[in-house]
Amino acid sequence: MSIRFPLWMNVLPTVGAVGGAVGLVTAISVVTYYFTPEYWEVGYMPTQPGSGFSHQIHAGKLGMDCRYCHTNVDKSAEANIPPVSTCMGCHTDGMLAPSYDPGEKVEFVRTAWEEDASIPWVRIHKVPDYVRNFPHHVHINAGVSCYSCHGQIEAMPIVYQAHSLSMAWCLDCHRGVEDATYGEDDPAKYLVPHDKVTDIEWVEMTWLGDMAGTQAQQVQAQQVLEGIKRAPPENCGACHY
Amino acid sequence: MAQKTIDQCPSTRGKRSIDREPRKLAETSGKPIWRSADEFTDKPEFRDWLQREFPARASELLESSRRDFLKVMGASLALAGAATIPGCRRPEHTIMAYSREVPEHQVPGRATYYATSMPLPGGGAEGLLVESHEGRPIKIEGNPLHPINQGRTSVWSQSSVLDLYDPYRLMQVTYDNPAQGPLEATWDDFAVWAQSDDGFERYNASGGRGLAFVTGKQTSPTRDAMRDAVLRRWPNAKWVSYEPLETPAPVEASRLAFGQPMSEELRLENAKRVLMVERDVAYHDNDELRNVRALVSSRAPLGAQDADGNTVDMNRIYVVEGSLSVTGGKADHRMRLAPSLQPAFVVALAKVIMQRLGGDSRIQAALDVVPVPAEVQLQDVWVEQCAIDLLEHPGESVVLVGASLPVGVHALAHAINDALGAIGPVVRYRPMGRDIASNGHAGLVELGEDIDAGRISTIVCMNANPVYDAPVEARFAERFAAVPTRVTLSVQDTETAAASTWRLNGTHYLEQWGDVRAADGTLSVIQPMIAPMYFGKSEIELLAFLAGEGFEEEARLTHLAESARKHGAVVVDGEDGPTRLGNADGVFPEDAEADADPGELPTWPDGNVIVRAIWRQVMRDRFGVTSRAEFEKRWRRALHDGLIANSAEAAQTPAVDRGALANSIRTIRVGATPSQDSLDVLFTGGRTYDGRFGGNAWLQELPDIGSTITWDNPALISPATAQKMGLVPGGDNPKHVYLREHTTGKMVRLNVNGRSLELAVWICPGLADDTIVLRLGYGRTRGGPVAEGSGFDTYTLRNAGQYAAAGASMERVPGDYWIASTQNHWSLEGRTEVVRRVELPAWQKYGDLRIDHTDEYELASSDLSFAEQLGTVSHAPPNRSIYKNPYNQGDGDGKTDAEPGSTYAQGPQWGMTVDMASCLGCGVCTIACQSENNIPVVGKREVAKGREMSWIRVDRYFVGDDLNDPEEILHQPVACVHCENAPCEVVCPVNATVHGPEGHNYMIYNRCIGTRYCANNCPYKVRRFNFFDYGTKQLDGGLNPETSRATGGILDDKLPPNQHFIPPRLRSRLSEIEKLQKTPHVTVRSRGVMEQCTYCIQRTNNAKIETKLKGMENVPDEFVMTACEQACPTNCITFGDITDPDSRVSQTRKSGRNYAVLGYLNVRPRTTHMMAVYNPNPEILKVLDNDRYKYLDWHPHDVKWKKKGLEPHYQHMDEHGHDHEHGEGHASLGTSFFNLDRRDEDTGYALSLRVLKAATAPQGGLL
Repeated sequence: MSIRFPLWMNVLPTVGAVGGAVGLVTAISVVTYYFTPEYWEVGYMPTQPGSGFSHQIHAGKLGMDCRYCHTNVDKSAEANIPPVSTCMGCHTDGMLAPSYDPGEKVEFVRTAWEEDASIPWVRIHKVPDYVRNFPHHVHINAGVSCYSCHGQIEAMPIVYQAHSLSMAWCLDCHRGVEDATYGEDDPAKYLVPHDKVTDIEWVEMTWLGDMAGTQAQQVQAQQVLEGIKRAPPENCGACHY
Repeated sequence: MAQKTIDQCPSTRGKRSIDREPRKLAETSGKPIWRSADEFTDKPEFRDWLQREFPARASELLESSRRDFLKVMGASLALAGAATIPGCRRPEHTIMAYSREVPEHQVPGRATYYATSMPLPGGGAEGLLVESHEGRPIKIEGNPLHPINQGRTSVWSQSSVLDLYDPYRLMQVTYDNPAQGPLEATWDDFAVWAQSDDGFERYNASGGRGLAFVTGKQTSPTRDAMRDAVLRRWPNAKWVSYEPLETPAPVEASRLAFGQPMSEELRLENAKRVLMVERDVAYHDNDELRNVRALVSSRAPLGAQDADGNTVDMNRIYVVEGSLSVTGGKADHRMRLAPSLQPAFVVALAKVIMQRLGGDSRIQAALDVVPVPAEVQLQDVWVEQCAIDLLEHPGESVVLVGASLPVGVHALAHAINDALGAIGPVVRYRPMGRDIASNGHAGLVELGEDIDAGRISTIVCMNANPVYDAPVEARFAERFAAVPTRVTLSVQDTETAAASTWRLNGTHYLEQWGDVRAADGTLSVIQPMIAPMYFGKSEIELLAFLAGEGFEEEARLTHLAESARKHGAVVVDGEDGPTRLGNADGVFPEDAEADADPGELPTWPDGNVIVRAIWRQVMRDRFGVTSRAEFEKRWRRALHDGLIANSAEAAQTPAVDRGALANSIRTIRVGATPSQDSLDVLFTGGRTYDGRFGGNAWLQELPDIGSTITWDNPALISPATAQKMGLVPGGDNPKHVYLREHTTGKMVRLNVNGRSLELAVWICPGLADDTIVLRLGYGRTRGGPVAEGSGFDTYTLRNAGQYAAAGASMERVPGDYWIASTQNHWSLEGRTEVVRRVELPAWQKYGDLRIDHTDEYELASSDLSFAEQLGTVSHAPPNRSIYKNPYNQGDGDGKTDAEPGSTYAQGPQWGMTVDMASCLGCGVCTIACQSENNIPVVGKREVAKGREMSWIRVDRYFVGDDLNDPEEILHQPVACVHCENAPCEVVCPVNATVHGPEGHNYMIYNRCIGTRYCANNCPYKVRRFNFFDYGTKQLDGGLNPETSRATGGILDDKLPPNQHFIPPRLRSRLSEIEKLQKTPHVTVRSRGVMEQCTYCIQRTNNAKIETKLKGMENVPDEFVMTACEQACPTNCITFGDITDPDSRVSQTRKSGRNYAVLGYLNVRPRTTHMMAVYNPNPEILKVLDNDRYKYLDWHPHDVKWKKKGLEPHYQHMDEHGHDHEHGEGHASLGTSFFNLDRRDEDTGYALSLRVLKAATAPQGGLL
């Protein structure tokens, strides 16, 4: 009986299996890479111009309030990036004591000031174009802490994206708050007292740390919850139009 | 096995094909309504066309062959691949924050609003509030403080923001060097040249002999002052100000009547009876906003009784015209009359009035000698009853005649108004400025003669385009070229600029300082929203420079004031010149000295300084303001308000010189009735005004009033004239017009005034017979592809100051011309009761009558308003939905309102009413929507394919059974009506269109995959599909280079001359300049996405956020307005929260005029319409239209009609379902009632009846 198939064909199953596996992995990688919205990239940490801006020093060590720079975050949909003049309030040459003066590191700010030019800060948190304008002011005024979306920003020497900013992630919170109004969820997970909204460290260490689950926290959280007139929207038209 | 062909729906199989049978027109109040001649005649081809969702070949990508298509696609794919690989991951966005100075009041992400004014052509202004985002003006709103606008806008101002971002503007100074050709230059080059002996210095000796200035007419104190300054420097210079649409006849007549030229101010709110003869007070009028507001003020009653319990009354509008005007569409009685016969009409009317009143004997005598040719026949009843009606309302009636009528007729109108007592209560007068009153056309002709005589060596044109729009006898184009030095200041690229030696780029009104007096004399400020984008100069800056006025003193003071203000101080007058004072605490910080020295002043005077200097004089002379501090205070107040409050000039009631009028009346000559060989011609302005907005694509694509043509200006003729002259499309063409891709008009040669022009004709019902209506302002040869691609230059036929001509002839020349008219687009296919109208007597009698109605019909209310009683809905069988109602999750079991406590029972629940009684069809809502919602224009070719994107369409319906002479014209703005039970939502396979908790019908662009099922299932035809990247591609950008390269240039040769005909697929991307115009809060949609009215969701969301931040439970009216509502000058659109009983929309929804279009479909639209009320003269109807007269106060449920055997035939299925007999008596009343004929004819409806009948059977049926 003649050989119907040449011998070399015996390797075909192996090659097929290996090739298939490689192909599958490649396909999955490619799909994951190309089809994941770019805005979901947790940990996205682009290089900032000059020597960057350390939130760790300013917001953490020095304890500056977020609104010192992001002045309109409670008034406008946009949390504005401060103009160079805000930086120069402290970093004008000779303003700070020599021991505090970062020296060369702020040279790029002074140059921008002299040239009356903008500093091209690289944007980190961005919702896709088909989401219209994440409104900061509503969230801040409702008692959503900066921490909820931006993470431990006061501990970041270089800011990175802490959460995915995907729609599911948004809805987790919106649905949670609605559930909380029916007593089915813990409002303290989503809301903080109004005077502590920008106090990221407090929210992280105390509200979600020491105070978690206490009676005092429940009472306060309930108060904030009741201050919200309308439940957070869960409908498409709230963001997509 | 052979497959059996399955029909679309088993229940329609075997049924007769209804398509091939003649179709009855839809009706309203017993009269047929139709949208076009094609619908009226109902050719089978038309039906074919109609029943396609989009016209033939609409879905084809290219005109070219399949092979070309593959080439292009291959090239595109290759490019797409190459483009995506490297940069598909997250693009790096940078945030460019402000640097040293943050503009005052600037909160990034929030719009700022500044007041400014738009100068209108020919004088007058609109006061505006301009929405700016981070320094970008993007949306025009009316200034609520301005007496003209009162918060509303016209199409001109609403669309003007697009001109600012026109990529074809003049962007820099160009010098046409005789030796080297055009050279790029700068303003400083021009300054050096101008101040040299080659430039303007050589005129100093002669006092300006040889120098001529040509400008547009403006009512600007600063411009007038600069003109005077220039003429002081060169007293012998010629100054011609003209407007293409200026009106010499009324000016001359007012000079005769009052001894000086005066402009009129209409107070139509005081007029009970208005007669307009070829006069359109609502269009191309510098007071048009006030006029339309006043005209409809009494025409939109909410109830049959006013607040005091009196029966409502309305004004009555008579219109006599040869064209079809905006106000003509609103008329209660409209007489079509050729321009030649219009003097005869006014004379006949005057005779009746004067006879009865026993008016001035001189005028009577003059009337008697006016010869009226024997063959001129008028409808005597019409004339007489109209005259009597006017007479019976002394002091409350007025006669207005248009610019096309001769001076004598205007004089006669003055005499009639004088006799009627209209002068004072209804019409008042103001002296005209010198420029405005001057006869610019005569000036141009004279200037032309001077040029011929070699007396002009330098000509300066500022914001005027005489090469294009001067009257023909001025022969301006050729004469202009003969002038050695030609300087043109212009914003847009114009024919005049192109022919000039110095082309100077001007500033758009949104980039400049200036001032202007509105039609009522209100002093309004023009302040820049943005720095000049191309470093242009304004007209006043150029004039001040030429006059050598530096305004140094004012510049120093301005500098000082600004410098002081930066330090928190103010400047006041000291004993020896200006002194700085401290801040509020009286302390002036020593280390913050205001810098009093501005340093070297620039060569070019600053517009801000010029206006301030002039206003300082104005303030001193008119308001007695001498102190500097007081001036600063008032100036800042004026900048804030956009005007000086109460600065309107009082209108006068001058004495009439009857003797002079009588002399003028004797000059009236009545022409002969026009005929086929001697046609009448009317020249009117169009959507481009007089051509100056030709580069504005929004206006170009806005359907023309009456003819609904976009991008073109064919000659308009009546159907009878077309028939007579063999100009009906398809007449000699075997293929009917609709079998082809586009609608076409035939080409003709029109001979008038001894000149001829070849152009297309278009049939428009309602025009006078043997009359040709020509729109001016098209056929531009410069101004960018938008302007250049469209229409015919009818200026080449027009004599100086001419609006009407007689003795024209027209002959057919070979060829058809395709025309993009929207009149049959988005047709509701003759579904009945779409538009409703009623006569005033019926309204007075039954307007507040509500009829109890059981809720088996699932209406929101259990009683029917008067308008609903006129519709099928009161007679339809129970309408059961097979889908769950998203509104209340009811399944058609009789639940009508939202479940208590459910989302839909909580506010805000948005709703809208659109009032057809006050809608004039101007189209400003369409433009406002386009501007607010980033809606692209698509170009002529795409419009012809039925792909226009505008979310709001203004449907035009003719009423009546005479194609040639429709009785009324109804306008109905239709946008998405936001059905509670939306048919689009249930068919979307990807949930891209879903229902929102506020009653919105959401359209989620990022989910949409473009199946277009929703559009197919929408009974209102309001969904628009992006066949191409209309929003991100240039309308007129030409073929993109990649495509050109990739296809090896095979398409380049095939491109039509007009670039906006290029298929959008192949156009270049938007330039950065055009992108600036887009609203940041609305997605710019890409290809393949459906879109529809969103109720301005960006505004409602914002309002919700604002109220939430303020801790409010609801959204009151003051917090939200949709763009269309905010723009509408007649308040015909009302939007708000329908759960709030105090909201305006709740009030209008309660009105007896409120009805749901296609309400019987049980889709429960949130946008409801309000029917129109007409107030015809019963005496005229009695004779001319007895049928209508008999039913003036008719009501479907009134027993009176039943007794007469005239009751309309309708079926209460449950009550008298057995009654299927027809009577003859009610044939004309078939109207608004459920109609058996229609039930058989409309298979969709008939089918649904059968299905639903089964479904409603207890426990049985479909489900």
